[in-house]
Amino acid sequence: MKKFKWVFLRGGIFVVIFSLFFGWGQIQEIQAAINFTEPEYPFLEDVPSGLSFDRELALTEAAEIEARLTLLGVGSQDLIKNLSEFFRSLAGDFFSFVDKISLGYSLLFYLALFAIFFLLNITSVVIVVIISNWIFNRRAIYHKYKRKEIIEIVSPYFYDDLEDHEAAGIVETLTQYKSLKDKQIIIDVLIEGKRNFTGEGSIKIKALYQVLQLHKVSLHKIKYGSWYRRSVGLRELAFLGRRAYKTEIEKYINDNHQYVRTEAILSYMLLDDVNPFGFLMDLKYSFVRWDSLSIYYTMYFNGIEPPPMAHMLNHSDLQVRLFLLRMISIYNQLDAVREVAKCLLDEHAEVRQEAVITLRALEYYRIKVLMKNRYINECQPVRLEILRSMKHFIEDDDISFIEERVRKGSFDEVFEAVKLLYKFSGYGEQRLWLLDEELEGRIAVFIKHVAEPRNKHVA
Amino acid sequence: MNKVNLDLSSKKTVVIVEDNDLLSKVLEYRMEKDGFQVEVFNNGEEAIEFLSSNSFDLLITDLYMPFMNGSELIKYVRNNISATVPIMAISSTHEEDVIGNIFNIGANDFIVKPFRAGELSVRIKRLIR
Repeated sequence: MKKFKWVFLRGGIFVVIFSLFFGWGQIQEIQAAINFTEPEYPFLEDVPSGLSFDRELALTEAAEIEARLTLLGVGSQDLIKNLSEFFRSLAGDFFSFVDKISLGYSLLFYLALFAIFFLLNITSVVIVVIISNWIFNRRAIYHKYKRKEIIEIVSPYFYDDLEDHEAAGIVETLTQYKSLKDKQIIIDVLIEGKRNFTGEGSIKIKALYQVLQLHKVSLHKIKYGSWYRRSVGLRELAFLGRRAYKTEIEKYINDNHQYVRTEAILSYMLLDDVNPFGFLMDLKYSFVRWDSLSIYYTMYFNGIEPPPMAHMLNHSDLQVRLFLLRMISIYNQLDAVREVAKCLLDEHAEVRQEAVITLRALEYYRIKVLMKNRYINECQPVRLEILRSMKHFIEDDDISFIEERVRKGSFDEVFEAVKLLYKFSGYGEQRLWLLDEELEGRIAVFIKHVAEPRNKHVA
Repeated sequence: MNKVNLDLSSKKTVVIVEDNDLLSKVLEYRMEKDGFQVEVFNNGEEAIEFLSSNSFDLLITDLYMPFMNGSELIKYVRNNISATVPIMAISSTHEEDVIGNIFNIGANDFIVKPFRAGELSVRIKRLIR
C-alpha cells in the first residue's frame, strides 16, 4: 500500500511539473491527440480561423486555383467542398502537420518565451561588454595617468649631474607608490629607460630597482605567476637585476613551460656575461632551434662577448652540439678547430655535416685529408658538404679524387664535382671534357650548365 | 623658406619629435634645464604644423614613428621649411644603409639608442652653436 502511495505521489508530482513545463495548452493538445480519430476530411466551414490559417483567404486562393485548373481543363468541382483534401494532396504530410500545430496557442507561448530568452541573452552580453569596456578604460586611464606622473618624477634621474639630495627626493617620492599596480608601472618605466639609456643612467636605473625593492615584485611573479608572468618576471630581473639573481633564474632553465625556459636562458645570459653559456651543461630538456636563434640575437643586440665553446662540443644533446658548431662558425673561433674536427666522427650525420660546414668557414686546410678519407663511408649530405668544402682546399693532387666522384658519384655529387673542377683551373676544364669523352657524353650537360655565364652565381 | 631663429637674444627653440613618452620627457627636461624652449610632438604629422608656422633652432626626431616617420619628416623639412636648420636623428637601428640614408636626406647628426643622456646633451649643444 505504501509502495502504491509512493508511486501515486511521484506520478502526481510528475504531472504537476509536466503541466507547469509544457503549459495547459500542450496538455489539451496531448488529450486531443489521444482522442484523435481519423477525420473524414472536414469541410472548410468546420476549420476554425487560427493563428496562421485565414479561412476567407484560403477560400479566395482556392477559388483562384480552381479557376486556373478549369482553364487548364482539369476537373475539380469538389475542390471547394473538400479543400482540406486538396491541400493535403498538394503538400501531403507537411500540410497535415501545419494544420495540427498552427492552430495551437502554445506555439505562440513558446515563441514568446524564446524571444524573451533571446533578448535576455543579448542584454546580458551587452551589459558584460559595457562593464568590461568601462573597467578596461578606467584601468587604461589610471595607467596612463600614473605613468605620466612617474615619468615626470624619474626623468631627471637619468642625468649624471643630479645632486644627491635631488636623487634622494626622487627615491622618496617613488617609495610613496605602494600598490602592486603602481610598482609595476615603475618597473615598466625603468625597463624602458634601460632600453634607451646607457652609461651612468643605466647604472642608476638598476640601483633604483634595488632601492625601491622592486625586485621583490619580479621575484613574486616568478614564484607564483602563470607561465606568462613568470616570463615577464624573469625578463625584469635580467634587465634590472644584479648577477646575484642568476641562481634564482637558473631554477627555471628546466621549467615545464617552453617560453619560461627560453626566457630563463636569455636572462641567464644577460646576467652572466663571463660565462653566458654556462646553462648548457644543466639542460634537462632538449634544446630547441628557436632558442639558438633567440640566443644569437640576444648576444648580438646586447653586445655579449661569445665565450669559448669548444669544450662543450661533447654535449649529450644533439641540438646543443649543432648550436655550438654554428656559433663557432659565426664568431670565427679558430682555436676550436681541433674539437670541431673531432665532430667529423660524431655518431649523428647532422653533426658531421655541420662540422664540415664549420671547418670550411674556419678555412682549416689541414682537415682535407681526413675529409677525403671519410668520404666513402659518409652519407649523401655530408659527402656534398665535403665536396663544397674542397673548393677552398683543392690542389693538383686532389684532381684524381674529384674525377673519381665524377665517374662514380650520384647526380648531386657529379654536379658538385664538375663545378669544383671547372672552377679550379683551365686544366680542370680540359680534364672535364676528356672525362666527358670517357663517359660517352654523360657529363656534357653538367659542364654546359656550369660554363653558362647566367649560372655563374649558382656555379 | 628659411625658418631658422636668428634672434640671439631670445631662447633657442628645440623641437623634439618622439613617440616614446619617457625619452621625450627626459630630453625635454634636459633641454629646459639647459635654457632652451622645447616643443614636443608625438609624430611627424603633428610636428609639421608647428614647424611650418614657427621658427626653431634644432629638430630632434626619432626615425620610427606612427603616421609620418623621421625620414619623411627630415625630407619635408629640408625641402619645404629649412635647408640649414640642424637636424638630429635618433634610432635604435644599427643598419648602415638606414644610417647612411639619413645623412643623405639631410640630417646633421645621428645617435643610436641606447645612448648616454649626457652625451646627447653635449651633441645638441654642439649642433645648436
